[in-house]
Amino acid sequence: MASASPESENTIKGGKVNLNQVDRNFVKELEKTPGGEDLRLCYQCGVCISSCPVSRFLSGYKPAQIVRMAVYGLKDELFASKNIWLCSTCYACLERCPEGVKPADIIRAIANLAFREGIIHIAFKEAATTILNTGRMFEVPEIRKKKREKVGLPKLPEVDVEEVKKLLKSTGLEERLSNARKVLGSSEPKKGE
Amino acid sequence: MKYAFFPGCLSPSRIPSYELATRRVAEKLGIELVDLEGANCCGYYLMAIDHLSAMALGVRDLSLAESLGLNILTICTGCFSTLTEVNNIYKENEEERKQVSRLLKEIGREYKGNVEVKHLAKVLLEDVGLEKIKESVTHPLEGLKVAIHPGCHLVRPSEHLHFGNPEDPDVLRDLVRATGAEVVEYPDEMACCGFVIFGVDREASLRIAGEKLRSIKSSEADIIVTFCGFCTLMFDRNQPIVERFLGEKYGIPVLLYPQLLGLAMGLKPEEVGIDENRVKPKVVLEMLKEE
Repeated sequence: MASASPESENTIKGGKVNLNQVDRNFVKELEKTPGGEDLRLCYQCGVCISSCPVSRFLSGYKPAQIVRMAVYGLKDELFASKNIWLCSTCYACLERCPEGVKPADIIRAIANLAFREGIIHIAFKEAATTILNTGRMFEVPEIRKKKREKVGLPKLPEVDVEEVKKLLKSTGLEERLSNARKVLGSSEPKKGE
Repeated sequence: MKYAFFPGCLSPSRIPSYELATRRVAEKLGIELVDLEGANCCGYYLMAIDHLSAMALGVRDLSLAESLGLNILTICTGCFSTLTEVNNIYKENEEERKQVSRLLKEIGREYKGNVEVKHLAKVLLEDVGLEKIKESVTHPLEGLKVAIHPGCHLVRPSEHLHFGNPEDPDVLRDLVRATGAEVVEYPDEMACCGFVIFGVDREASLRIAGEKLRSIKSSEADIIVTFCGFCTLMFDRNQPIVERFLGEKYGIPVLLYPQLLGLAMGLKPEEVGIDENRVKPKVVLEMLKEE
């Protein structure tokens, strides 16, 4: 995969917020999204940053900063950033936050909202497409299925792919996946751009 | 002890040894595993892009187990945390329950909320018990130094899982000691392996894994033992990639816990899928040969 450009530059670095870039409804929208409920309780102590394995190696990635940017309503900047796709979901931040804020869940909620607006990272697009088409997150190669018997494993149960497809059509996932207008981390030309 | 067996997607596609070792060990301990026909991905990856889709997939799996009247035993830490979280939300949040029930009804299914999701580790500790596990050990691995790495999703988020300690690998410590092996400490035992972000930032992912492998190496452990397939990919299958990327050498084998227990029970290496290991656990195999 093509390596993405560094994205450490952001509006609140240096203490400046460009008011023209603020979406005042964003925080309310996030509070209504599962996982995003408690973001206003964050007082920026930074425990999440010091606990985060990703922050340790990517200086531009800071969970507390993502939460603060969301509170400020810097939606466009967040949606354009690779950062909202970089949570490793180790949940160390969520365990240690003194305010019971769940940075990992908030970041997930922000990514959910980005996807509603047609923005997704290629890694997630590919995984979701595999789930939609096979019912599994990783496809099981035919050779693996055949090899099972040889090592003494029973036949692998089949996924009911039709039921999975029906569910993901009803939730709107299928349509949103095919209509995604901006795919981060992808070097291919994107639909709608 | 009878469960609906949920291997998840990772083991069948990349790490069949996890399922193989689990089945062999389960037979010895009297755990009956019933295949869950038609089951799908737990929804973990979809949580990040569409909460409702993840809920729908997870609850569908729960409904399949419920129709068999069985609790779920999974070997995947990701499935364990996701299905448990989905189960809790479904039971506690009326609005989400209504929404997901409606979706399930469209495919002719229903979930009443009667399934408990257990990871193999939880079944071993809570249902089988340490005493029975110790009794099953015929080839104690005395002298083997083990660095333990449970896998984040085995214990976190603790508000949903209520299993073990989110800051300490206690759930794995007693189980490893039950095989006769010695547990050695190392810095940041509960830190992440980096696997999940491999597709988004490969370099950061490899650095996270390298940090961990380096600190395990410094503990002079002979092997790493884990309950997580993703961590196994990162620490074993990707170990040469991490070594090349960082210009370091670790040479530390990784065993999934049922592989370790299986060997201590006298199972042959091929019966627990040792041939799949990228870094061969020679130290354990030599030890067993000597006996």
